[in-house]
Amino acid sequence: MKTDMNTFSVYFAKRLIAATLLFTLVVLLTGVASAQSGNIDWNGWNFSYEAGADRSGLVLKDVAFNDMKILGKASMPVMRVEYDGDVCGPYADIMSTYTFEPARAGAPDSACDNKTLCERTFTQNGQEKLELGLNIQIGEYQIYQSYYFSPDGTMDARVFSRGLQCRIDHNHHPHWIFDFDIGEAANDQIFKNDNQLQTREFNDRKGSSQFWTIRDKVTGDSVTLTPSADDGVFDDFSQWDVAGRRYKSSETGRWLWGARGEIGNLHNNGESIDGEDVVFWYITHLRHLSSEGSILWHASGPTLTVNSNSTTPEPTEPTNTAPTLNFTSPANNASFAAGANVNVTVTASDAEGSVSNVKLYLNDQFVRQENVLPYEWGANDSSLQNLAAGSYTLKATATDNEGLETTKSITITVVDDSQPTPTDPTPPTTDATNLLSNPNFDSNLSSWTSCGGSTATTSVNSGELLLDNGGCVYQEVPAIVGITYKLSCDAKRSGATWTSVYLAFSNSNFATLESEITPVTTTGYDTYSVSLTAPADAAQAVAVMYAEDASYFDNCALVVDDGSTDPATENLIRNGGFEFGLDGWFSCANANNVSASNVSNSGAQSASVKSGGCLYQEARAEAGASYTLSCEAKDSAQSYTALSFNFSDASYQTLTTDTKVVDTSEFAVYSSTLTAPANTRNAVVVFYSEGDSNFDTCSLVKN
Amino acid sequence: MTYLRREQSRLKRLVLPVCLGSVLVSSVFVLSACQLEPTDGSTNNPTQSSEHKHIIGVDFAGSDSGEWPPVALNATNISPIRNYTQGLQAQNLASSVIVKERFDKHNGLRSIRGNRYASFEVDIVDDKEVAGKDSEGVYARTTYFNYVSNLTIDAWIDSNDQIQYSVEPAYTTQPPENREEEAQAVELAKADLTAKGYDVSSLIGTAMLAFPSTSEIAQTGQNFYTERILYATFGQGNGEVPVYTALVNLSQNTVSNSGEVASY
Repeated sequence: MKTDMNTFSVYFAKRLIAATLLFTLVVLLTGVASAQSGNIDWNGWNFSYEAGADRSGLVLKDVAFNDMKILGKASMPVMRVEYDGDVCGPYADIMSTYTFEPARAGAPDSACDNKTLCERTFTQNGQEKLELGLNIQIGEYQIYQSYYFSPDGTMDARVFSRGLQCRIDHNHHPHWIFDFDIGEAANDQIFKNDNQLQTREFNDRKGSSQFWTIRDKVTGDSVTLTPSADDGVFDDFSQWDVAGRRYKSSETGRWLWGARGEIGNLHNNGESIDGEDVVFWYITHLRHLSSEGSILWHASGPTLTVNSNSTTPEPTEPTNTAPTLNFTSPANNASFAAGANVNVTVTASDAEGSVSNVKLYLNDQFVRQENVLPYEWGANDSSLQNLAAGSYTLKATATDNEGLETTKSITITVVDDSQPTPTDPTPPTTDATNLLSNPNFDSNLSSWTSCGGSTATTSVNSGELLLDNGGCVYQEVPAIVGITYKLSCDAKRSGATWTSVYLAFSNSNFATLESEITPVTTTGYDTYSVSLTAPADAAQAVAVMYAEDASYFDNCALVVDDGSTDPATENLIRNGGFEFGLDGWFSCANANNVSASNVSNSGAQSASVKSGGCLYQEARAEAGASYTLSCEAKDSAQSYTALSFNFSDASYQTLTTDTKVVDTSEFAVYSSTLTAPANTRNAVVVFYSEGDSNFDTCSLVKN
Repeated sequence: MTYLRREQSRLKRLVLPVCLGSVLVSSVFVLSACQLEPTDGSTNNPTQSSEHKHIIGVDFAGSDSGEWPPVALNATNISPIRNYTQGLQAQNLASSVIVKERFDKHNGLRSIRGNRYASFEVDIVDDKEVAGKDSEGVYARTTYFNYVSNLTIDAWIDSNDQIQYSVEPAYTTQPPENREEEAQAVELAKADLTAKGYDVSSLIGTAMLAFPSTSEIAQTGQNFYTERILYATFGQGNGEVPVYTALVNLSQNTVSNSGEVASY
């Protein structure tokens, strides 16, 4: 069958989804929002948090007080808003990452100026408190969703709102979800007040003095949830104050029901919640009169109080606690010039006894133990002398007279003299010094941090990094705004899902600013690299390796990229001569119709494409640059065979195409030169043949 | 009646009954939205709340001084803490970027989302949800919205590491607006208002997803509009009542009901 070009395009559109399409007004969105997350360990409270997870505002996870777990998760998926008289709205305020808004500067206390996530401590009525809050703007509304923690075991969940979307009185109905895991996920019960057991999933309303108790059926440990003064009363729009549900993963995440969703009608199957993993919904009804103006904060939310059944006996003698320990110098994230001698000083003390010793480690290698004050290291410690460029972790461990230990770590960076320091305002010109420590994995995983899940494989064998099943490692180094960095690694994979080398920049709060990724596509070692310029506010570059199949990495480097390491003649096509079979190439049609062939014009092999077979490979390309694709090709059957050269944008929509019909029965050179249009992200090379064709010696170079 | 005309008539109205459901019994949905009978069989009837205290003096009610974020009452020794955990941050960062790339490259999703679409954030599901006995085996999910077909596409990676997706019409569910949509809506509304002679150049624009009113739901039975509609406002910022508003249809790239905010 002879196929014209139109049919050819349709063919590709169906298979490669990179063919020419009309009306391509693509609203390409970044999609990967920069969440903020971390862990808190403060006065008996221990939990992790993540801002914006599952569009649920500030989410707390694995909340424990004095080692007693109380919550698997606390979140706020929606605040429904109804205006009187059906004149304005309604709205569903959903606190996704897109709604985060830094707080205005200029408050009397500047602890949270210009911050999206506010973390601060304060003293109130003689008691110290920890506050964690998220600043949000939705339309004209300003929202502050927050949690307050006290050392006495109380935790206040609050949402503040202010602003006027319309000059109409209205009600706010924030919905909290508390996934209680008291002690563990199972065996929880919900009581109205402290004595009315709720055996089945329920909806309820609070009376004048009601509270709820969530208790572990086995241990008796419990949490009391008490409404606050302005939690309001239900109305027609939001008819319930609380709901008890049995935990299901799909029911504790995103809010999908818009402004009109009513918890009373959701997730209620009448299932048993007596001694199960339970979820407690709490809804408040906060009235806002337009006459109150737009400045007054309106706040509501419950208070949770931890009640440990295993009451702690009054100590007859002081309980020993671990010693305190802090680095005096150097400061965390301090930078030194290459060859520097680093002096380390720590302070350590013990409230009930004495400090027996303090040990210091450099990248987990023991340096020396100090048994008496002052706890100092430096001039007499060779491992702290003449440090080479790289990132180092200093770890100190203090041990008291009863053997309790406290460990603290800081990171320092040593920068080559020809490298700029983080405070050096002068950009470097050319410097290929590797900024990574242990880049070849010769010292196992030293200087690398694992970021894989619990089932991931992360190991080093014979100087090669092996990652599998979601394995991930990363290393951070200080970055300088405006400088282009290049991350490269030799890598190979064994499967077909996803392996990648990834470079990102984050700010001083570790929020991601920009990132670039390159997939690893070959089963044999090849060099994969990615370049990116540190954007404004960049504080560190993050080098990440990730793999879902068994994949190997070696010889990684993060260098300042001045372009000299990327000569114009570099072939951007991997395995263009097919000497490694079809490594790096992907089928875009029936995979049985493409193979490695011993018929070749140079070397030992070529790519055989026939009977509607299709092969393609992508390479990163730069908008505005000119590229030349060249391949040797032939079609023995003299049917339709083509070499296609495309540029596509970040959503893989084709921006421009040049197709060369292969009409020779012997190998001949087919080439095409194109300039990458605006918004180009990838160059795509495609072989297609309805006959019996071979392709060989392909190159793609930047002119 | 198109939604635009409905919206136009809605905005011109000054007062409507709070809930029309009790009289518009022909609509099952209105009964759902405004029903007076609780679903658990109790006889308590919801009523319009009038309870309203705003007790400024309680510990966390904040002040009326306009500070953002609010400061707890009588708070002293306020100190910022910095407690971001690099490992967790990098893990999330790496995972979400990698997973987003997988979603974006998926042929099925690329087909169903079309050429004019919005793309939303990736969420990495926490360990309990993945490992729990009621787990659906989802460990990452994202959403797309197709502006041409007006479809909400929910995509996830299942326990076999395969990308799956479901498709819902816009009137069934829609994701909240993202930043690019907000910016697009503000730009379209600004152009429309400017063409009408209003000066919005010194005002701050915002936009948020719009939802049908109670009376519209009575007619359509739908909780969401059939297209992607954002409510845009222009004002002085800082929560003050906006000066101008407009409804922006991102599915059609059109603007309606633009003008000054009504005084009710």
